[in-house]
Amino acid sequence: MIRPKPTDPAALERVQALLALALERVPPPYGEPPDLAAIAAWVEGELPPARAAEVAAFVARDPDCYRLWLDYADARALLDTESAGTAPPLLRRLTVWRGRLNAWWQTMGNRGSQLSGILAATAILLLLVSFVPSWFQDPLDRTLDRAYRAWIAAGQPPPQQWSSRLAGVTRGTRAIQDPGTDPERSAFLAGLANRVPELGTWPPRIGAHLHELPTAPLPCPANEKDCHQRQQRLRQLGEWILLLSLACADAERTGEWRTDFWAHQHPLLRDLRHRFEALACHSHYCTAIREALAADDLATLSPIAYCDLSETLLDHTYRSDLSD
Amino acid sequence: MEWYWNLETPAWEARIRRLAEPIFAAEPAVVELAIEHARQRLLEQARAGALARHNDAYLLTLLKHILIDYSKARYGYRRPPVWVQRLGRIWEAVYHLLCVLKRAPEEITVDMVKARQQRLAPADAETEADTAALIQDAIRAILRQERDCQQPKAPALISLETDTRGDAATPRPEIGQPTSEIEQVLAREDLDHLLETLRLSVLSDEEAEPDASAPQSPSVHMLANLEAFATWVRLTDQERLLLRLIYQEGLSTRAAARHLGQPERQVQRHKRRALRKIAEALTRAGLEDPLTDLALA
Repeated sequence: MIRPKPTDPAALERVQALLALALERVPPPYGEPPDLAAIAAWVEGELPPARAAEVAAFVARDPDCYRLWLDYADARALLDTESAGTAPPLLRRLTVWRGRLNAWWQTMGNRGSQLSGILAATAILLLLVSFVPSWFQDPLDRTLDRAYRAWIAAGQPPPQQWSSRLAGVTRGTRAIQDPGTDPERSAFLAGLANRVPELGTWPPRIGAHLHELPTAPLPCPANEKDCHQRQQRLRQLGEWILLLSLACADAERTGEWRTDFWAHQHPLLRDLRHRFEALACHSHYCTAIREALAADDLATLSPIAYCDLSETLLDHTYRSDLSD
Repeated sequence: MEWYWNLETPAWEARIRRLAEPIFAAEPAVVELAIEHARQRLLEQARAGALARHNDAYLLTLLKHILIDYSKARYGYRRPPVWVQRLGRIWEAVYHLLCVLKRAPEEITVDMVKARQQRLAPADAETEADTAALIQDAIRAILRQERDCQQPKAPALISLETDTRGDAATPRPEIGQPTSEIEQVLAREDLDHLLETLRLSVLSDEEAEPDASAPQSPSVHMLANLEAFATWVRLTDQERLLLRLIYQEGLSTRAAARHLGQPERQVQRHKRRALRKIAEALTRAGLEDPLTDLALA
């Protein structure tokens, strides 16, 4: 048998990962421990977001729940390989497309009556927004508006096709420690929510989560100096991060990085970075956000660095250890 | 007609067989008995209305648990030591086959590689050679550190009743207790076994020969660094799951992405970020080169 040499990077990674998994101090999960049925419902995306977050925390932190999840995931994989092995390739492809078409049709059917209303309301809203004098706006907000308009005008695919990127937030594995109760984090989430209606119809699973986001930041405590300013910056940052997430998901789907889009992101980053540098941050959360924006690797202007940034900021927003 | 009559169809028979054969590989004659037992138990639960869901993956998971319980009832069960548990499911399976079923190491490698190839799509598992190497590492380390493992009189097996969510003999450390004492995360003996195992995994067979001059407790020289590392390393839930799938379960990035329901590219990014985080924590704790440190321990 060929043994790995001590200089083998794969062996190094493996040892490092196993050491970390064995020694790290895992925070305790919260909520009611899930049974197999609850874990299955979580995997299938059938749980409401709050319960999904609890189950996600148990799966990631409790060894017994992790095993249940793994057994269920194995069973799904086994069924997948079974169907992949029996159906001829064309039939398999047709089955996949039929499933997608059915899901799409169902979504449209369920929402058919509401859809025209939503579309009409969105159109009216857009018209109104375009007529509102924009000189009252913060220049950063105007830049963000332009970026969203360009994104929509470029005929980007509807959200159904890149929903997988946000699946981690809805279904996934982040420990959501009720960020809605923190004035700063709620401002970031409100920023995400602000731009949601402009982008069309969302898949139900993603939509359910997005519609739970706070539409406005929580009120600042009376003794918190500069809180409103921090909230405004975090709201703007949230709006930008949603756009970045969409672009990253699009790149993952198509395998192409749209240079025209990414070329316009650096001025936005620079602007946000300056504004955060000038901000009086008192909380761990605000400081962590500022540090993430100041990271050196963003200077490379690589889209991957931007995608990492969007993930990091979402993580920070849901991480319990950044609570004050 | 009730849905559960489907369990009698050849398709379900084949599925249950795929689950049962690796579990009862040591005694193929038992496979038929086990399949019948599992099907009957599940039907009983279904008729009693005790099943929470009816989708195939859920039923298959329940069937697997029934088969494992049947195996435990037949052959007994011994919860693996904590250091083995910390290394993942493959290690636990090897421990069970070696130390409870007393199977020969060569048979274990062949059977487990075959079972993994059947269970996972070809592109999902590591290559056959990698899987075999992983299993052989586990066999070698367990035999070396659990010396009574293949003795006819192994330590007492525990019954199914005591196999709940813990083992009185080897209490599982409480998770989430912030402490500066690494022993509360992992007992010293388990930590030593774990370090020795990692050491074995990076050395050749000759290099790994027992050294009489080596310290009995490899963690002695590294304890302070490990304490610091345990303090600094902070994985997100997502990163922890991903690392477990790749490094403990031996899945490829693609299979891990499918398990997590995420795009492969995103998973690769998370993996890179997690490894970067760990490397930073190691550097901060003065363990820049754990391979060398372990080899010298």
